[in-house]
Amino acid sequence: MILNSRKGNTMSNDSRSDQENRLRLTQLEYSGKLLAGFTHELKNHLAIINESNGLLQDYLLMGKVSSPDFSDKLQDICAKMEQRVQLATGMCQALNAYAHRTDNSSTSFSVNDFLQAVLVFLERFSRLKEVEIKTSIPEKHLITVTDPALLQLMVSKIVFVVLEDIGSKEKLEVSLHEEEGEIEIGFSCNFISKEEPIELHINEVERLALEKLGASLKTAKEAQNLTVLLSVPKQQ
Amino acid sequence: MSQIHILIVDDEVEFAATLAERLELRGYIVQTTNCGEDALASILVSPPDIVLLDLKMPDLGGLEVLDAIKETNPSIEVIMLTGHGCTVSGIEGMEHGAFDYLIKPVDLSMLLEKIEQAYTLQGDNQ
Repeated sequence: MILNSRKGNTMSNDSRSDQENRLRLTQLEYSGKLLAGFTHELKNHLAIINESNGLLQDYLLMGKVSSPDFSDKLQDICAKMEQRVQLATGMCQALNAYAHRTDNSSTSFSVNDFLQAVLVFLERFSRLKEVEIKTSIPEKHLITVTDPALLQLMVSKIVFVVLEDIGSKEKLEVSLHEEEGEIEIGFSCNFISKEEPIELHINEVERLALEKLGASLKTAKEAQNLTVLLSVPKQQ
Repeated sequence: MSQIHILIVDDEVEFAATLAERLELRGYIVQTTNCGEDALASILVSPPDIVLLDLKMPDLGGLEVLDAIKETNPSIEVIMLTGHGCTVSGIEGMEHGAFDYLIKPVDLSMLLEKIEQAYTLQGDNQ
């Protein structure tokens, strides 16, 4: 029997194994959701590069490119393509980092860098909901030792829950602090357009994820404001 | 070439503008809007022959805009543009009355073919 310290009850090995499987399925589900949104965004950049390249070819065929009057136009098209190539390259780097997040189930990493990388994946979802994600991340690196893939799952879960219920045009503030030997990731938002702030329900599988992370989760509701604090251990 | 009026609805401003320029070079009359609400307002004032409609947009989704277009002006043919890798969303668009769908990045010759087909169908139906 394994003691589930957070629930204060006992859990059979079968039940534990069942929850481990469900946790893996949940990770796959969130992974699929994140990747679908991310690659969609990547395709948008490629679509613009494709059209800009096509436009250049159109003007080449029309014999306009050699005209001195066309110089500014040409530079403008090239600058747009260069900007989109840079954005797409940044996304590919984030995708590569994402793929490597499952390399080790326990590793030391900067939560600052981690948070910025994960928020790149969540940007599209917030934009579609017209919610601005504001970040307050300190310059000093806060290093944790935990499972980055599971931490990504919990951060994504919290952001998705908030985005589901928050009104459009609102702000979600994501912050990072050091607090009594722990690293605290804060999510705070106002629910001006809602009568009741949302509830963050954590199921057994997510509780298991928190346990494996050595993390804890606190929520505080005040008037129309909801704050969620996800704490992970600081590297000693 | 007949003067076909096209409205491009896409929240990616640069994509819509560049595609519009390419279509204008080919003799089409093109307008662009970057959200569903503006598209519906524009259609009321100046109904186009063809709408090129992005599926995922922040305010009104493409399918909602498609439904509204078909309700107010069913003769307008709509070609859905989707960034989805799978065709499920495109098929769903056709079930809602879209003429066809294309996956982004768009092959221009394919798009031109679809536009001409949609315009011919529109003429046949009127």
